[in-house]
Amino acid sequence: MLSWYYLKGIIMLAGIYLLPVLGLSLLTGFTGLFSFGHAGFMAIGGYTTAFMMMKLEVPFIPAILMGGLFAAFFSFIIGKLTLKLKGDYFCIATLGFGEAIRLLLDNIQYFGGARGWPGLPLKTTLITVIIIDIIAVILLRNIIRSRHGRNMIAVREEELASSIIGIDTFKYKMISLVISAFYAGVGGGLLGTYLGFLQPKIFSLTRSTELTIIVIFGGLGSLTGSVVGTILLIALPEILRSFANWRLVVYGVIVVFIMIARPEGLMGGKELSFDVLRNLFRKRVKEAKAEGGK
Amino acid sequence: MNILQVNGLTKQFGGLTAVNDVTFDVERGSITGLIGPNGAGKTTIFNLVTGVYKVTGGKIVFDGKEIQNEEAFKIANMGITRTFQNIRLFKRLTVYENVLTACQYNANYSLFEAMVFGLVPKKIKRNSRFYREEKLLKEQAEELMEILGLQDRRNFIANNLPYGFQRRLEIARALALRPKLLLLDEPAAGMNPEETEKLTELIAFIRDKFDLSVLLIEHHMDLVMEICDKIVVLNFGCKLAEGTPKEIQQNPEVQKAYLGGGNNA
Repeated sequence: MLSWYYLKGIIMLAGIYLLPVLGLSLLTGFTGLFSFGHAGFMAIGGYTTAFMMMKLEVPFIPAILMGGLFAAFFSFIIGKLTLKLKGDYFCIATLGFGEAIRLLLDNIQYFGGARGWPGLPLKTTLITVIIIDIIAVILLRNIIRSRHGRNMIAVREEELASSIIGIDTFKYKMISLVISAFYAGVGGGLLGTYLGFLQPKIFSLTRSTELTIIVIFGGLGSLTGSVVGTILLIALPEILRSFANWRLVVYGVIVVFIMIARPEGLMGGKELSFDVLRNLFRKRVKEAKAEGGK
Repeated sequence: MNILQVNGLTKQFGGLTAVNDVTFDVERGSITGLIGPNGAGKTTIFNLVTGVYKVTGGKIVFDGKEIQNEEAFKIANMGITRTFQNIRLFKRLTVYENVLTACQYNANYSLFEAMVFGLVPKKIKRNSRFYREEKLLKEQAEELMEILGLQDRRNFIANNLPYGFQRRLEIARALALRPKLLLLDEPAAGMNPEETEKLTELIAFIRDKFDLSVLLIEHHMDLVMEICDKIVVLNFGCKLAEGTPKEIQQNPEVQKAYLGGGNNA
């Protein structure tokens, strides 16, 4: 019924998409900037990785890192141009950027144009994805729990007040954007070498929106929320296969219902860590003891 | 010796001159009051001094350096910080997180160090700058909460705090920067006489404790007359008068424009 091969495919896909989601989680959930162009950064990462491996014969891991770095470099330029814009304008700028990248790739015949680029080496394995995911989560957690992360959260909460307590708001928005683009780029690189095929269509506006939906669904300002959200929302369409043609309708309905039931997202800005679990467990034990005492 | 010199300061919004050629000083270690009717340009002056607005004309000299048109965060790092008339806290964070965030100024570890040392065994971590400075920041946050009496409410979400404590928290957050000059924008707004009395004591206390100068906007005349060493009166963007509380109270022009009742009393 459920073959391991099929299950593995879903896990890997979720693991790969987790990277851009984590990046976006930092940008949207912790810094308060909405982006609808992250598929663009994924595309840059994916195509750079493919280029490095196919044309320059760079090994897998360095090629993926180069993909991330190149995406980060692009985001730096975008940031320089648009991060001074307030609120919604930045969001619209990223939307334009994402689409521009896709259309550009559509027309670069060297990379296969709109037909796509087949025959990429299938280097992504389950173990690689899981290891990269774990490293990505730990690094992000470390950032968020440091003064740098707190500064980003301050920018999200109240930009004017942050600058008044000496936080360079532009710099922290930029750092957040660059890191999130790096994550998206690495995710794109992994996706290409998992599918063995790249096509500009994969990185459409729908993909960008999907990433943002996952972050909001998981809960803005929660890393665990982003992880849980990714697993659920990537796996959900597969679980719903029995609905056949109605699959995506049911998917939409479920997302809408969860957002109505929990507008703050699944985790609602809270983290699920070992400390929290331990405290919960202790509380239970205490309650049980109190019950017994009666 | 003056910590702040404002010289011919002017700010225009389109055709409206909000602040017109205002000149005054804040003496080091003093408490200076900025009073005047609504719309006189008091908050605009705060916004100009802290770099929120760009200056149209004139000079602002802080501690011997010209700071007009510097960016807000740089001015903050030089040692000027403020509170807001309509409180601007990090609303969804706890009291502790609000203060801790503001303490960031006192740490220097890089993003890279944070990424590396965030989740490693304590034995390795202990010698890192990240660990030392984080510990220091947490101590400073505790100390500030202690001084301002926020310890009991440390885990309250800022938005859920009683009004008076929100004001206190905003002052605590400002003090985390170890400022040389603190600007308070209507700190007693919405407070009853008892709370105002407490606040008056608090302002005098932090001035001495943190060795800073204070410039404050306030409409509670009891508070202003009690603690200010000097008062500057504004009206329609221009300076109307300047002097000790006593001189201001007896100034007929100020009575006419703002304090009122002089002739009838």
